Formats: sequence, structure tokens, C-alpha cells
Amino acid sequence: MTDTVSPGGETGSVELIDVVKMFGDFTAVDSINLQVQPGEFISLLGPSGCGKTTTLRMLAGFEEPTAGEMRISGQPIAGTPPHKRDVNTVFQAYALFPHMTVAENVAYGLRQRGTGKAEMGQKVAEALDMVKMRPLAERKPKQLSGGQQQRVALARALVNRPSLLLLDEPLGALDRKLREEMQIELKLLQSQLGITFIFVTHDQEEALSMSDRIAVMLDGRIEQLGDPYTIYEHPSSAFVAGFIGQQNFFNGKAAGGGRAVSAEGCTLISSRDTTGLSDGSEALAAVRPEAITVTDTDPGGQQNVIRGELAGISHLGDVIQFVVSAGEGREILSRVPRTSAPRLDTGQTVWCSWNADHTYLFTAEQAELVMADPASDKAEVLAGN
Amino acid sequence: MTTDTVGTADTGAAAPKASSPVRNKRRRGAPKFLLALPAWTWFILFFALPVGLVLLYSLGEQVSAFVQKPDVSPDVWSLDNFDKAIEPEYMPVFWRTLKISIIGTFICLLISVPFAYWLATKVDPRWRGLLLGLVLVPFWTNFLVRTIGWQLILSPNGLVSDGLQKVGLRDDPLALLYTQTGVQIGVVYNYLPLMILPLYVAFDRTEPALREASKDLGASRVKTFFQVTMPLAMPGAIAGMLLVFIPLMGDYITPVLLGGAKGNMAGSLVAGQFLETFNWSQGAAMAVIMIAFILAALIVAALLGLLLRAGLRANRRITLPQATRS
Repeated sequence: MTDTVSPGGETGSVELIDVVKMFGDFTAVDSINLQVQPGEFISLLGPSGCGKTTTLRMLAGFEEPTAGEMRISGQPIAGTPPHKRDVNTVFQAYALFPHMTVAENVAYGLRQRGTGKAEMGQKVAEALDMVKMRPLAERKPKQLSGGQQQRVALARALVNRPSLLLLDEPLGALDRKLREEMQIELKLLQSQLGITFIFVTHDQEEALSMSDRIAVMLDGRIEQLGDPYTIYEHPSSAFVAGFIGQQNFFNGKAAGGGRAVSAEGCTLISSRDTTGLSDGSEALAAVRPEAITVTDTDPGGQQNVIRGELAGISHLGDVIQFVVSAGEGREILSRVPRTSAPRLDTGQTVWCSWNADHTYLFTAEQAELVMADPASDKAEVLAGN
Repeated sequence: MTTDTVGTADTGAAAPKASSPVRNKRRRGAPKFLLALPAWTWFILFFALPVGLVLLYSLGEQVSAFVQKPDVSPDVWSLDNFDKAIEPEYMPVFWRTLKISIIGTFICLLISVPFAYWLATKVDPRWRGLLLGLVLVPFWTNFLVRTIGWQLILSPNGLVSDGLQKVGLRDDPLALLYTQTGVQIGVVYNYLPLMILPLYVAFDRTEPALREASKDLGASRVKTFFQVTMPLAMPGAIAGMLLVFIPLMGDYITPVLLGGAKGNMAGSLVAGQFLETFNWSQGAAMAVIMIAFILAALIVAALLGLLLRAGLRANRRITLPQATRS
């Protein structure tokens, strides 16, 4: 994102310039550059240990960077203690003060600034209304469910109207349905308030559904920075391709002038721009499950077609997932919208096919990266999910 | 029996349903208070009974200077022993005991809070065990021996006196031994670990994320300590104060060795009646008064604590404006 204009001193902008954080010999954050626009919702997405939480903690002031510069609203923040930063955090386990009521928790930040009692009551009430927790204002955190605690933590941070809100996997402890509801609410709140959100998560769906931009992180570096569409449709590396959404991966050798990978028994052709592939070198091809069509008749052609046996059919609600066993332990996943899914039976011979613009090609070095990370969703795909 | 129940519970998932009525019956058959029986036996034998005896003896009468066991038959019961115990000869000792104990407890608290906080939150976990061990070292040493050690330090030609003279803070030897100050120093030393340990546990249990949240919300370190960390560690502070104050009220080794006549405490008064004068009834009455002092002090402290808490809560309390239609 070098095309961004220098944000200057606008309230809510964030700049990270060559930020490095070392813990002893371990490099947690390895020279990160990031510019966040005021009012932007940006996600730091990556597997555990990728440096996303460390980055967040440096912005909050709990860690000082080893090198590099950080600016919030144009002001350098090095050496500023956490309590003097115009930044608030929603913590992973909420960190509500157990000896205070909900209202007292929310009022905590206002009280530190010496806000008058009447004004404080007004603001706390507004913040609690915003997260629909007003009726439970007199409860202690222990008497609340996880989702309710989450809302209080959010109100406690937002009541201070910070220029920047940091969220450290705030939805991680919630069950799926509640999490999806909160995702929508968070996004709505953010656009209403116009506060810059930096959201740390390892959940790619969460990042995709809420963010204006996503920074996919690995080993302390930003692998790719872009809006959800770009990240999903044009992954810059095999790691990003595997981490965002699901992929069917095929190992093979590059062919056809860097436009194809010949894997065992099939050739995968891509019409996408690929770089760094020379014929004969080790390469990796990736195809998303939703790009693959499964048919019971041979669609013809030799390219981007794989014959196999239908090993399983799973109903995932609005989509149907086919698992096709293509021999040599290779399993191919296909996801088809329920309304256009063909009637097929397990055990029958089927053909998987897809368009050339759905084949992603990567170099072998990138391939190693994907294989080395068992935490990513891709590993589950290879294991047949 | 207990193991039986546990065994069934462990295999419960796999066991057929038929076994469950048996299990229920067994559970009903073993009343739960049985688990507390050893504790109750202990409590009755070693607390209720001795305290009852002390109360009984305090009402009795010394038969002669050579018979230790007093006459406690109901027809000789009287409060004479108590009258004597509150005479000007003894009463100041009780007040002095209370004063030394309260000051001692607070000095212990003032030393322990920063130390325990530092140990629990700042020290690398690898070194915590070692430091806690060092705190406990005095406990592995005989109480008598380490108190005698303080005689050497506090005497007019001891470490403190010599040191102060060497650096020029004093011209003449300083006599701390056989004074109230000497006792005060001695009790703080002897009871400090009892304050540090519960406080350490309490601080260790407070989540670091809570301190971070407090700072994140704009509270300085000092404010964070007093508004979040310390309130959450209060159970530890209360436990520590009880652990120090109560035995300190009854201590008699420290005042005997370091206090002499000027630093006499109620414990040595009671011990004197039992061991030297052989007037058990008089000793028992003094012991009862001492217990009364302890109870009264605890009640007053509890009331002050509740008052303080109510004040802090009222100060923190916020009233929300009436909810509007939306």
C-alpha cells in the first residue's frame, strides 16, 4: 500500500514504520510497515505466534518496540505510558474489574480523567445503551455471560471515545452464533462512531466479514495487506491463499512457460499472472473448493480435469461439500451451492473440473511455507477435513 | 468407602444403569458431616475444651501456694480474679500489648505490601521460589534462638548501637534492648513472613490483564494499585493481619527476651501466673481478659473495615439517568 498519501496528523491515523520487537533472541515482530487511515477497520490476521498480538500491545503501550517508529494521530508514541495514550483496548478475556459493577467498570476510564458525576452518569448510560447492557448496569461481571461481559468490555473502552480502539481476539471466547451477531454489531458500531479499529484475530472469516483491510501476518511480517476481496481473490503467496478460505493444493512441476503445473495424472492450467516459475521447477497449484464443479460425465479435455471416486457428501447448510478421492491418497474438496448441486451417490465415478482463472500457481519455496504451518485451514483440507 | 464412590463415578459413563440406585443408596448412607468429623474432634479437644477450662479456672480460687490446680467448685465461683487482673498493676500491660500488636501489625503490613507486590508481579518467576524461601528461612530457625540473636543486635554495645555511633548519628550507646521499641522490632521481625505469604498469594492471583486494563483506561501505576490491585488483594491483607495480630497478642517469648520490665506484654503476665506464682486461676482470668481484648480489637477493626469499604463503594457509585423511551 505504498500508494497511500501520507496521513499527516489526522486524528485516528496510525503509522508503523519499520517496527521491530525482539524478546531476547526471538523476533516477534520483524520490521512491520503499516499505515492506517482514520476511521478504518483493519484486521491483523495470522496464526498464533505471528506477531499480531505483540503489534497490538506495542500500540497500547504494554510493550516498547525494539526499533522503528509508531505514530498515532501523527504523534510519535515512543515512551508514552499506556495511560497517557489516546488508545483503548478490548482484551481477549475482557479483563473486567471483578470488584466493580458493570456501570462502575464502564465509568472507570471517565473517572481517571476527573469527569463530573452527572456527566459520567450520562456517558455511562449512553455507552451501556449502545451495547444494550443498560438493564444489567448494577450487576457484577461474575453474574454475566461471556457475551454480556464482551459487550461491557466494549462499552468500557468506547465510552472514552479513543482515537484508536484495539481489539485482541475479542470474539474468540463466544460461541459461533453469538460471534456472528457480534461481528455485525461491531462493524455497525465502528461505522457509526468513526473510530479507527485495529482488530487482532486468527479467524479468517471474522477478518473477511468485518474489515476494510486485512493484514495477513506470518512470522512477524505482513505477508499481504489488502481489502478482503483482494486478499481472497488475489493472494500474493501460497500462505495467504491457504490461510484465507480453503484450498486444494497440488504439488508438481512448472510447465507451459510458467502457466501450468503438471501434477501426477493431471495438468493444472492457470490464466492468472504468475511470477517466478520456470519450467521444470518445483511448484504448487491451488484451487478453491467453491471453484470446482463435480459432474458424473466426463467434461472432456485434459486440463483442469481430474477423475476420481466420490468419497463423501456433507451438507453444510447452504452449500454441499463433495469429497472426491483421486487416488494416491489425494482428496479433492468441492463446494457447490445447494440449489445447483447435482444428484450424486458416494462410490460413483465423478469428474472434477474448473476454469483456468481459478488455478493459483506458487513457487516451491512458498509451498514449503504452507506445508510447515499445520495450524492453517489448509492443513485440514489436505487431511480431508 | 470414599474410594468406592470415586471408582463408581469414574466408570460411571460405561457402567450400566442398574448400578446407579446402589450408588445413590451408598451416598445417602454416608452422611456428609462425617468428612468434617476429624476437624470437629480436633476443634473440640484442642480448642473448645481448653478454652472452657480456662474460663472455668478464671472463676475459681487458688487453694494454696503449693497446689497448682485451683478449686473450681461452683460454690467458690467469683469474679475476684478479674478484679485483681484489672488493677493498675496489670492493666497498663494489657494496653501496652494491644499497642505493640497494632503497631506491629501495621508495620508488617507496610513492609509486606510493597515486597509481596514486587515479588508476585515484577520478579521473574524463576527467582520467586528462591526469594520466598529466603522469606521463610527464619521460620526454619528456632523461635527462641533467633530472638536471642536480636539481643546481640539491640544491646547497647550491639550492632545497631555501634553502627549509629560509628556513622556519627549518636554519641552515646543506644539501649534498645529491654525497651518497648526493642520488642516492637523483635515482633515485626518474627511475624513478617506470616504477613508476606498471604499477601503474595493474593497479589499472585490478581490477573496481570486487569492491571493492564486499568492503565489502558487512563489510570497511572499508583492509581491502578489503589483502585484495582489492592482491593482485589484485600482478602490476603486481612488474612495476613489476622495471622500476625492474634499470635502477636499472645506472644511472650519476644517480650521476655527483648522487653524486660519496660516491654512486658500480657503473654508473659499470664505465663508468670501459671509458671512462677502457680496461681492458675489468676492466670486464667488474665488470659480471658487477653482474649476479650483480641475479640474487641477484631470487632472494632472489622467495623472500621466495613466502614471504609462502604465509603469507597459510595465514592465509586454512579447513578445513571432515567432510561428514555429509546
